[in-house]
Amino acid sequence: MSALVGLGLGASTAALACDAPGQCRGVIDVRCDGLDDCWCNSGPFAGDSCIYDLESNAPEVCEVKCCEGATAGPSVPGPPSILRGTK
Amino acid sequence: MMRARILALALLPAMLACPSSGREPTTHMVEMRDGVALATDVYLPAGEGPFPVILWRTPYDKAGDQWTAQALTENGIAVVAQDTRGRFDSEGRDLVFTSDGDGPLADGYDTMAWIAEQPWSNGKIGTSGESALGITQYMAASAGAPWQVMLDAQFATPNLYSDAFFQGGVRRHSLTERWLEAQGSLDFLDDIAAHPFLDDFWDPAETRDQWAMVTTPGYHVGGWYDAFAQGNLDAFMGYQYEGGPGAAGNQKLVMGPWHHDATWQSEQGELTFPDNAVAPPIDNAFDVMFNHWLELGHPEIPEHPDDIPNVQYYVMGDVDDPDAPGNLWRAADDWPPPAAGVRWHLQPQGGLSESCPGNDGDTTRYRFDPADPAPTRCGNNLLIESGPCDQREVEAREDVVVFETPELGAPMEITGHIYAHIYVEIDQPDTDLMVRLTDVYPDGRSMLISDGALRLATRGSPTDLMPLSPGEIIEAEVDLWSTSIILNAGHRLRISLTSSNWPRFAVNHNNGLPYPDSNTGPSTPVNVTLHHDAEYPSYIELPDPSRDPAGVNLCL
Repeated sequence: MSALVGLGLGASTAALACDAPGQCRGVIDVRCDGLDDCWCNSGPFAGDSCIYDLESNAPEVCEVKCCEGATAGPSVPGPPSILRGTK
Repeated sequence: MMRARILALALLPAMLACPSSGREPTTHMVEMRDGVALATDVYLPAGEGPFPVILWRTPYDKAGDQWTAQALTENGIAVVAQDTRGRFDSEGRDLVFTSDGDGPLADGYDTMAWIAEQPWSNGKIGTSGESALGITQYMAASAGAPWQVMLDAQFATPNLYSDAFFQGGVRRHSLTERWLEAQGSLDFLDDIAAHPFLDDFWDPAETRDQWAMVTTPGYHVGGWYDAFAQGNLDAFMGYQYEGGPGAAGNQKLVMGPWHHDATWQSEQGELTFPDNAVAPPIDNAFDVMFNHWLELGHPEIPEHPDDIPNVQYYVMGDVDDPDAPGNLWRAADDWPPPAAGVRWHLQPQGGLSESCPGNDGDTTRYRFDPADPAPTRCGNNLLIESGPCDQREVEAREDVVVFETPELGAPMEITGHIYAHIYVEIDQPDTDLMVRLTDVYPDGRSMLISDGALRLATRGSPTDLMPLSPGEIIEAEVDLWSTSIILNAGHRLRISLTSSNWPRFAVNHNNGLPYPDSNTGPSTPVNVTLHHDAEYPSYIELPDPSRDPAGVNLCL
């Protein structure tokens, strides 16, 4: 009735590693102040500015410009959390 | 029976998991009861399992927070992230939360049923997320899924019709239009137009009559200026006091001074609160509650949910005076706290006091032209400016009338749900009544505390219209939602009344027709008469925990 699906992320993931600025595209949580000023608030892009996704016109979805800061850790909105890896 | 189908996904950069500390996720197409399959990512911890599960269902791309998903797996939790119906990789049409509750479609329930069948799942499912991800949780909880053992719904509402798309019978324009446009789901406006009243269409997404179906403990987080502030409060109270077994008595609530795009921050609109505004004193409820209800046994989380106050709320205060009362967190067993409903009556010449108005037939009039609506200046909004902002630009208009107290001789607290009762007469079949409550600082700034709207022809009923007749005087009850604030001595309390608040609310054309013709059909200016004398004592009722109810002047 069910089957798992392997996405085969191996080699291509490596080519888009997070330490490769400008190459990693990810859709992540963002905060929006109006419609044209978004920044990332979680994941390795936390605090990065991000551009508005004109294709989807979605204010809560944005295309991250680069992966700089990928090793800086997350900044999930809210208090530090052991379970979410922010404490 | 739900089943997963093999999915051959093209390898798109947008789907890649940048952080890859754990196993890579697997993607499944999980079939709902109508055969539509929803794209679902599964992140598993190391080891064999079975594992407890955290589920988030999102219209914003299931791959949106892979870092957090990986972090949770490192703590022994399986994470399931799903694109909601019609969104991103999921099939079907985006039905905008109406397929997520307890209706002919129940995507949240069906997804949890599928998770419970999986060999890697131990059958204990927690749900988590804010905004739309919180709304999908509230909808699913109303279906009473037995596997849902914890809910973490932040900045969200359990009532899509009455707390989100409409308020007091008035359609929330900017929230509805801008959000649906951003989602690429403007076609849902046709559904709203076809169901302008609270009919069966909204049942799955309007859960206030289904509290008893809810069986899950919950953690609710909201903000006084959030677009869904009353929703979080209503869910907490509904689950805590009227919920089913497992829900009643097991709810926690946090209410901060936040708006939707500035959660867990101190800067809100045109005010900056002290640094303590970013989080309550006991700030680990997320960890403690998931650790307990998912039975994680995490060694670094020894606390029990009983160690956390049921309610933590921020009492706002004068941000310019460091010695002012307020700007602090309070803990409480219940919401709302006991308070006297103090009635502030509209008086002649724009006065506002607890005194009963005289028997002098006093009235105040204004003329509202739909072609020139009063603008929105912040408030509980989504996708436009939000939070506390100065209302003087609005209050200066000729179609806005203002009533205010003298300078307060002592601080005055407002904590709880606010309603205005206004006796009103109009010369057209319909119009809206907008009420704003503000804290007037000594320098003149009139900072928004809360506001409310009522479409008069609804007379408070969400199911019908009863256009007004010329000469008819009705008592309009306007719901201004809830807050907690202490106005400092030397400040003034002000309310302003008018008939528009654009683009926060759609502009009423005063024609008495059902929506959408009420906002697009023939348009006529309306003359509005507010009555405030002994026979028609208009007032705003402000809950004050420091007052004795016996001392309130009811003017009956």
